[in-house]
Order: sequence, then structure tokens, then C-alpha cells
Amino acid sequence: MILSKQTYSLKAVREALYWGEKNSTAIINEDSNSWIIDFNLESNEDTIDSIEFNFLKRLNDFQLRHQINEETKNLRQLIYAKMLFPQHISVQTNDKNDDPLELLEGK
Amino acid sequence: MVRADLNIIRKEFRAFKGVEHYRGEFLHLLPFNFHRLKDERELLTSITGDYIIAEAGSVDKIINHRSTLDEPFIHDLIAGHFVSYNPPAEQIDILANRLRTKKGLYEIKPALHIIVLTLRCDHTCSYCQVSRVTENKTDYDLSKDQLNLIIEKILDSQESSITVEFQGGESLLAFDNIIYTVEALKERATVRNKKFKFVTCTNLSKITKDQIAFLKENTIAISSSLDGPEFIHNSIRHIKTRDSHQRLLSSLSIIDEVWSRDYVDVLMTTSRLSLKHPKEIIDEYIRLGFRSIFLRPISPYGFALRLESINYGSEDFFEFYQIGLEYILEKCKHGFDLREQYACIVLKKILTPFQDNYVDLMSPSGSMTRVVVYDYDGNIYASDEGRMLAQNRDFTFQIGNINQSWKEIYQNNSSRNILSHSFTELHAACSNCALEPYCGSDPIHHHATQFDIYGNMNDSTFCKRSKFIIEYLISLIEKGDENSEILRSWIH
Repeated sequence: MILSKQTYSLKAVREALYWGEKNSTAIINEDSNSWIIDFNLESNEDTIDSIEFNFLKRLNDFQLRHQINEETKNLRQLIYAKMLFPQHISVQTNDKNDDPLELLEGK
Repeated sequence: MVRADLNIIRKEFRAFKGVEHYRGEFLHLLPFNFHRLKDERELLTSITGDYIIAEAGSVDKIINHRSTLDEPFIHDLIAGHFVSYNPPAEQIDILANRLRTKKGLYEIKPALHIIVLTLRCDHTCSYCQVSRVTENKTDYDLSKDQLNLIIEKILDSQESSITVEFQGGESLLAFDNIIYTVEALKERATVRNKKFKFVTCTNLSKITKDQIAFLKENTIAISSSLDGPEFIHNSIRHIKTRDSHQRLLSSLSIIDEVWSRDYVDVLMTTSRLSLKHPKEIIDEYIRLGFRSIFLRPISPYGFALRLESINYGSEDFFEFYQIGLEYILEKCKHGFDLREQYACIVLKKILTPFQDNYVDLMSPSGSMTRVVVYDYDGNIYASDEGRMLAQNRDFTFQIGNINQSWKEIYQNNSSRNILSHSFTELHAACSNCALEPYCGSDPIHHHATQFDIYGNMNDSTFCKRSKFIIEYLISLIEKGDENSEILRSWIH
């Protein structure tokens, strides 16, 4: 199976493989533009087609998770840091919830 | 004003600038995970455990096509802390506070101190997870000197509200030591600024009126075992007289007479025989007047791991659990007051900002952070399961002994190893699982079953069970029917 590196991150590929069927193994290779995945079956319970189909389904979900993580990982770390050390982390914000009608704005 | 009206008003308030104002780049993502349900819908959970079930393709829209999201869905996403109109930095305080409310401060502060008073026991149960010796072998009891050291360790621990649990073997065979420990701790509680609760674990085969009177006088709760009707209970809980069930019932009658059933909790363990009889087991609990039941799988430790005759697969347990829970719900509809305890623990995590200190389903794992075990020989373990492994000469979870200070215990390599594998938030597979806010870490289970303290979740019976039950409970509460109402009423 050949996957575009532009579409899928290595992390997503690895995580999708992690949750794969127990009777299969996979080897990841790469060239400059693609991930090349070779599946091997260790028993006849499944076919390569079904293994690849399930892998792709998982991969699309893991790619979405990867995107969420990329966009929010710093925020996640800050939330945990603030949770654990509330006195040591101060976040400067311009919280509009304090002034929803913007009555104080400009004063 | 009804809740629906309030929601409309809230949404109107939030939308006073018009949703167009906020579309596109102004909608920021907050950390969240998602899980694809069997019907392809998507279960989204926020970092604090709020959840939404959305149609397939919603997550892709949230990430890649934010401007196409419809307004009501955006409001739901904001309310659940999945996205924010404001810069994400402004959400840090509120999300950190909510996370702290749910999970505490990740401190090592054991609130449950288990003392194994003796290995002596009058039972030889098939699935007993620890070694036991016959009733006359008093060499397997804690000495008074050892007890004094344990009492001092408990008083030295950081937590101020502590539950002390007496275990065995059969704890009542060392009843003098229960009296000694309770009196010593109570005497020094005020000076050391501690509050104690006490529990004694007993099979109730030999409890006397005098013992009950002492338990009553000192409000020492009783934790016992009831595996179901006589034919199930006695098939596994072996005693020379072959009347374990009858003895339990007799003791319960005496407790009813001298004290109150409110102080007795019984646990059931699911054996291979139990799998075929979930309804009979639940009926027995109802017949004996219990108002809660914990449908627990067998723990894969000690003797239980070795005996094929009592072990079984995860799928068998899921079927048992599902039939059992549905039967309990049916009984509730007919006026019976009965709860399933595992469901209560999980539902509280799903539906409230809080969680119970149930050490087997929390992150960091409750082993060592919330519980410690003092064995009969003075060794200290991270949990009862860790002690069970030591019976098979696996000392991975022995964190010290009673002659050491807490500092020495918590800073040794064994404790560090356990702690570093105790966080779902740091596990490669768990950290991006949508069910993580409702689940927990169990390094001992994975060490025992996979010989890998880190654990491979794709092959983990713990992960399978947690996922199955959490997903199943969410599916039940989402239906909004009578079952859903009953389940919601179980949260307290």
C-alpha cells in the first residue's frame, strides 16, 4: 500500500498499525513522497484486502487525531501545567466574558 | 423556568453578535479526542470529560471545514469545551480548574491503607489470589512490634482522611490485632490531625456477637463476599464443612440483630460457573436485601491465573455484564432498589465533574498514589494485586518495608518505575483515546498479563473491558428512556 506523505503523518500511520489485527504484521518503508506499507498475514482468518481496508479506516481517524493534536498540543500542556501548579502559571488574557457588552472598552 | 428555555436564552446570549461574526478563523480548537462508535457516529470527548455524540464526518468538519459547521452544533461544541471563539489561552484557567476538580492534584497521598494481619484462613477458595495457611499457623501473623511500626507509618502519611482496611487470610482470626490497631490509631488521631475510617474484610464464616459489638462500637464497616446463590458460592468458596454460604447467611442474621446491614458490603467475583447465571446471582442479592452489586471479573493474578477451570475470556464477561445490567434495570423498573457499582463509578466520571477514588480506574493509577498495602511480613506493596504477584515471587510492586521512611519508599527505583507507568495521559495509545477521561491506568494488570508494565492496549483485557463498558453505558444513557433515567439516578 502506498500512502502520500502529504496526506498522512508517520505518527498516524504508526498508530493505525498499532491497533491492527493480531494475525498480521506490517513493514513501513518510504521514498521521498510516500509511505510504503507491506502487510503480511500470519493466518488465514483475514485477507490482505480486509486488513488494508480496516487499516485505511483507522488511518483516516488517526490522521484527524494527529491534526487535533498538532493544533492543540501546546494548549494541552499549558492546561496540565496550570492544573498542577496553579500558583506558578499565570496566563495573561483579555477576557471578554468580564465585559460581554464591551461597556468598559475604551475607558 | 424549564431547562430547555434556559438553554435557548444562553445560546441567544452567546450569539448576540451573530454567528457569522465568529465563523472560520475565529473558531479555535481546544484539545479533544474522538472515538468512532459501532454505528459510525463519532463520540467526542473534551479534555475535561464533556462529551458529544455527532454524526459521521463531524470531526473532519471541525478540523478542516470549520466555516461549514451549523450554529446549534457550534454552541454544543463551545458548551462542551471542544472549540472556543475566544483565543484558547483564555480557556486555560477554566479547563485547568475543571481538570483539577476531576482528577485532583496528582499527589502521592494514599488514603487507603490495607493491613494484611494474617495469612491464616479457614477457606481455600479456588480463585484466591494469595497464599493462605491453615488456621493454626500463627507465624503468618503480624507481630505487635510490626503493627506498631505500621501504625506509625499510617500516622506519618500525608493524607489526613484515611481508611484503614484489615485483610487476610481471614482478618477476624487476628481479631486482637484489629482491636489493638483501632484503639492505637483512635487514641492518636486528634494529636496527629487524622480522621480514620475502618473496614474489615472477612468471609463472615466465624464472626461472633462480641466481635460485632466491637465493630459496632467503633463503626468498623464489614466487607465480605457473596458470589451468588448457594450452588455458585459454595462451588468456589471451599471450607471443610462445605457450608460457606450458609455460614455467611447466619452471620448476616446476627449482624442484623446486633447492628445493621448498612455497614456490610459484599463483593462478588465472576467465575466460569457464574457466567451462566447472572440473573440468579442478582436475585440472590435482592433476596438478601443488598442494594448494590459489583459485577466484577476475576482478577488475573495468583492462583486465578493458573487455573483454566475458573478463567474465561473477555467476551464471555461482556455478555454476562450486559445481561446482568439489563436485568438490574428491569428489576429497578419494578420498584427494587439495586445498583451496579462499576456502572456507578463510570457514570459519575461521564456525567459529573467529579470522580470516585476507585483505585482500579483512575489516572494516575491508584496503586501507591491512593493505596498502600502492609503485608504480614512487614513488606509494603503498591496495591493488593502487587502483593498477590509477590506470592509468585514477582516483587516488581514491592515498594519498601515498614522500617523505611516514606521518603525512602517513594524515591526508590521500584516506586519510580510504577509511577512512571501510571498515567493514561502519557501512554501512547491511551493519550489519544476518547474514553481516556472515563478510564484509568493499571500497570499491575499489564505487568501480570502481558509481562509488560507499559501495556499493549491492542491486546489488553483491561482496555477491552473498559472500552466495552464505557461505550455500552454511554449508549444506554443516550437513549433518553427509562433505563437512562434509572442510570442517571444512580449517581450520587
